[in-house]
Amino acid sequence: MKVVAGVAGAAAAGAVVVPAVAVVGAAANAPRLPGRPPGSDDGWRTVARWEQLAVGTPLQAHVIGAEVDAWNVSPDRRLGTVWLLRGGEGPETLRALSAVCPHLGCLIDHTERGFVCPCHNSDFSARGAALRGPSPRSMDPIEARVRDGRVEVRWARFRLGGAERIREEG
Amino acid sequence: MTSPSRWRSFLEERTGLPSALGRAVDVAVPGGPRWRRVFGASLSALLLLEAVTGAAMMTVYSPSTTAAWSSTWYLETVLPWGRLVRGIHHFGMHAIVALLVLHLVQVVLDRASRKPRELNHLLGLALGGLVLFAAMTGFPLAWDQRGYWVSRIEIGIIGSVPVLGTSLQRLLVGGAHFGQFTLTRFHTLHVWLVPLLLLLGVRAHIAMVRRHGLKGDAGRGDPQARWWPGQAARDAVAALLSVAVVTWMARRWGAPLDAPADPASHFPAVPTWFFSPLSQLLRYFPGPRQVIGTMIIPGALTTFLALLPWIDRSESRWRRALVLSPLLLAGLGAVALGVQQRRGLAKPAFVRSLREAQHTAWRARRLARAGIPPEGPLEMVRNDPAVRPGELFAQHCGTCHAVRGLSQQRKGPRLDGFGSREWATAFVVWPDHPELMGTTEIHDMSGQRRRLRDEGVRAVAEWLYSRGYEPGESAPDAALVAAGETIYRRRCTTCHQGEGDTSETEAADRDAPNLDAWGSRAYIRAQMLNPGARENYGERNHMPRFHDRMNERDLTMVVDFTRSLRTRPAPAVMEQPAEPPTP
Repeated sequence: MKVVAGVAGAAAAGAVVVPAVAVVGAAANAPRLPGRPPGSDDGWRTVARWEQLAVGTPLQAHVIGAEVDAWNVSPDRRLGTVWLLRGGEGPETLRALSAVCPHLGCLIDHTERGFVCPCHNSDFSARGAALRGPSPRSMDPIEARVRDGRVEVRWARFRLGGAERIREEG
Repeated sequence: MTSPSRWRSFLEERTGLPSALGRAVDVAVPGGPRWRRVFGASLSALLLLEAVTGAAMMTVYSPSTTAAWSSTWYLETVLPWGRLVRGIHHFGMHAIVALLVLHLVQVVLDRASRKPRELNHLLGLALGGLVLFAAMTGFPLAWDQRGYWVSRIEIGIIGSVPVLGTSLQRLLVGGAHFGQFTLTRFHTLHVWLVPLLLLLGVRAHIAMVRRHGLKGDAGRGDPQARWWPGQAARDAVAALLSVAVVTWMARRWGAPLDAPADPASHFPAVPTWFFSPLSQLLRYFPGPRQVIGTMIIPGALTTFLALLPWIDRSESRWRRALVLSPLLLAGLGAVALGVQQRRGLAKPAFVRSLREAQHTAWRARRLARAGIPPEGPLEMVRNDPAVRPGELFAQHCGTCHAVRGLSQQRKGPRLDGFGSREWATAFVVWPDHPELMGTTEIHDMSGQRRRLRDEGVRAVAEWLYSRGYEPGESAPDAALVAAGETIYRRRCTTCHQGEGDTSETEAADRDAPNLDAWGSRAYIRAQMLNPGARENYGERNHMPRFHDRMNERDLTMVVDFTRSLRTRPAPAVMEQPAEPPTP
């Protein structure tokens, strides 16, 4: 009798708790919407035109696209901000850096001293290498290309605060 | 038998309530009532206050990224009593944290954590942690700028916890990024799980107090004294006072509501006063040493407090001063860190960004008065008709065109006053002026003042102005317009395209822009969509096409904004000599 009481009680409690905990845990993995499977969008977004870029002068550009957050899909949202660098004549000299500071995620400015994060004074070189301040790593590179005169980037976010560069999925 | 005692025995027989109540208040207070023991009761009263005001707010609040700010704003601004209830909930939380500190100080000084109360002391510390967690989970629920950014930093700190940090962070946030799931999770924790745990914990805390009696003053006063009525009266007065102060603060200041949370913005995030020592501590431990500030120092302090009943066992005043000195130092350190942080807020850059944030918040509350669109308050602020068109113009047009206050670029004509008589006059007189076409690669038109004379220039400018005229603006002079049109159709259409040409030029030779709708919304739109069309600048054009760069709503905003520039002063070209130098 004691065993029956114990086992039945534990089973009943488990039947209630397990699915409840599982659903809370599942949402932590931010499942994708079924109508937007992986690969349904190649991620390339136009941010500028090649002719707008001048050698030696970084251009700040916003990545605009649809933001998916749980069940909400908001078109024309600012997904992020990049700095575009043109190294020379050809489109192969294009480089894009995320404007998100790897330290705590503030937006990096460009001043006469180079790239500077205004929040905690992290300094970066003209090519984005960390020089001084609390940033644990250099500015994060973003995939970029030129297509028919359009500068396109593939926006990505990276985990903040660590020396290792880990791409955040979802 | 009097009637109250009959009722009493009636209830006693059936429910046992009266004697249960009697036992509930029969708590030993050796040495009699003291004012310094009222903090526990005040805390209970304020926790109840939070539960009541919180439940009231839940009837309005909607935990969604598109509705959280809106429903909070509605509660705060539109609903009668809403501001007071929200203010009480807000300041109630501040008062609870302050009273917790006082309660802890009283317990430590009165040796009230010692045997047999060690476990109740530990429970009390856990309850204190729960209260801070309740404050933390409640903070971003309005989904305004400050709540959002402060939470992001707090969650970032949790992420720095070794080993478990990242999983804990994902579990709390509901994925990798702050968003909808963060809100629903924080909401569930704040209104259900944490209050439930607090309720059970406080019940157990009070039950143990009853079991042990209050830690009184042994050897002084009446050793048999009871909680009822002396201490009860003091507790009640203190509770009333706490509630009164909280209500007064709520009425006086109300709870803050910033602009809607904007992940793409810069926001000068400042933590609440009781988290600011911790936040300041982090500044001294950057990078990999961060864990010292987030984990090691706070962890050591908590461990010390938890072990206090076993550490602080001496009755000697001096020994106790020595044992408790780390707590005093920690307290002083916390105050110093807090002060240091507030001083950092006086920096000009910080003050400036704070002022900008306040302005955005003011605009948001202002715009909300006309209703908030279903896409949410952030879209509402982004499309603020007082700000957005200028931003779009600066972003898309300001890279070449100068407009005072927005851009100083000089790759195309200055657009201040574009569409006005003055701008038209300036152009007809001196098209190659550096403020007009001078810096472009189009130099086909020369100044027309000598050819048309001042009266002719005036008439043509009046006609050009009439092309984009809309009712409600300064009306064009009909006679002047007619004269101007006659001149234009004969003398300007040798180059300019358009209807009614009387110059007898071959259509194929006319390749300058068609000005028949000059300055109108249609003209501006056509120029933006396809400036290289034959009707516009044709092959000489260098202006980019905007047909694929903006959606229809943004395009309309920029067109309207550009047209609104006609009320601004045009470039002062007339002050130049009558005949400009030929290039």
